[in-house]
Amino acid sequence: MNDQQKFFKLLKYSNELKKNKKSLRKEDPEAFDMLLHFSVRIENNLQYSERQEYIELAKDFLADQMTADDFSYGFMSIYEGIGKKLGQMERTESLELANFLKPSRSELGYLLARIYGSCDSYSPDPEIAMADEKELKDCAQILLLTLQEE
Amino acid sequence: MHQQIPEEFLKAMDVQNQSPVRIERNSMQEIGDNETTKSHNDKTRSYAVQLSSSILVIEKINESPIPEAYQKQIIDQLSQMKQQKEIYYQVITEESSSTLKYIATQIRGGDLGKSKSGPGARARNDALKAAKNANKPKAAKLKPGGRFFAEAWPSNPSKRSRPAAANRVAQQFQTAPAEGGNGLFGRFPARPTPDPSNPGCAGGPKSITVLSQSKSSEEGSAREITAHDGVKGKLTNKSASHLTSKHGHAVGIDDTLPPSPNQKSGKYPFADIRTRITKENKKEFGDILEKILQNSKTEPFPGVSIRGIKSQGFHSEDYGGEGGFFIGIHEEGKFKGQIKKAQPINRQQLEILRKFNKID
Repeated sequence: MNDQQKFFKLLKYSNELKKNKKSLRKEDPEAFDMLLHFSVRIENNLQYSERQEYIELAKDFLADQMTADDFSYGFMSIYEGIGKKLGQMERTESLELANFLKPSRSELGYLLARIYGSCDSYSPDPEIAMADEKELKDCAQILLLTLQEE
Repeated sequence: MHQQIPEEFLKAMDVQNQSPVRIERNSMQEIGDNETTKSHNDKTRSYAVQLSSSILVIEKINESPIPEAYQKQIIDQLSQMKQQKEIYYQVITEESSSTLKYIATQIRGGDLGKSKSGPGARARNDALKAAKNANKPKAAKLKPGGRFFAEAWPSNPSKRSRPAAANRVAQQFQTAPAEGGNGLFGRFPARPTPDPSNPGCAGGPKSITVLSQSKSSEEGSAREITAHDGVKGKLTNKSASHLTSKHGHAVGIDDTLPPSPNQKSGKYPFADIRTRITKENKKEFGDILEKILQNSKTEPFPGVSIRGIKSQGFHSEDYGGEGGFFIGIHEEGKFKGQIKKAQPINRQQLEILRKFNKID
């Protein structure tokens, strides 16, 4: 059984459990880990396929065309939006998912997760902020370099 | 009549030098109004003064010449401002952090949010007025007409939503962010990163700074939530605002702000995720956090690292993103005992959480 077949089998199993209000993680942790591994791979490839969104956002921010606050919301919106798109495809067991099953750019996945954390921690209110504008600028710069060099 | 304009303008500059935040919009506006009343044809001398940052920008909107004498006076004023700025820099880099805070407070207006007459309050009021005007079509007509104004908003229309005078100055002179960040002129160490595998975006080595704990009035008014395993977390008013605004949509609070007129239309418009901060929304968000934390199905992640800070984590599959919803309570540092994370997570974040017991 190849990766594609394994993935769709696990996905179907997980969706059936969800319909019965059960969790794959609790019912079969090993299967859950395997499905998660495939899903992360797909998600990272999906994120990469939408890189233009991130590039435009980072460019605008670095050119001071938007505030740090707007950048934080903008980034989170793209990141979450792609996650939602994947969720929808998984719920419908879309065959298109197979196109994104190829080995992924795991470094990109870690980088995006880290930037999301910085965006989430940013606040214009210094009393509660755990990340500042400089950190977000660094993030935007690294993001741009990473996405443009490939 | 032509001389009147720069004279008034220079007077305003004097006021500016007394309190270098911005030229008062009202006084500039008044000049403009007088001009318009006296002669509708005399619209050849318009100045836009923007002090949104520490640099004074003077734009001459139309093509009429400015006498050399006035140009020189303006340049003199500018150089004085530059000197003042340098003095601030010098003081800030030499003096103790308490002095720094004092200066920052003065620059921000000191009385921001209290007095109605201080420069900070005036800047804020002007920003609010400008915000109101920005929504009115007539405001757009006034600009090219050559009236005098000092913009409280960024002149670039693609810059969104932040009153420059009230905010950018404050940001520029900001002291260290509450927990980390490089703060002003890089004097402050980077955010705490005890976890070497979690170096932050820049990736370089970062020092560990666990700030002293202080009980603020914020904490006094915090909502305390006890999780199903007995762990307690406080949700302060400010954190509730922050988290509701960023993640309210993820737990089903359907009250997002409308898109800004300047917003680029993308596939994932960011206004869609910015939840309106209201008392009701904050309460609802707090209620949902309580529900998640008290649910026995919610999985605890003791000792989870949140951006390097040791914390108590909780993960629910029933809310949030495709990977569920994560809540984190700091166990150390300035925000010890506070709920500082309450966000949806995707598959990648879930994998990182499960593999490495950490979340960024």
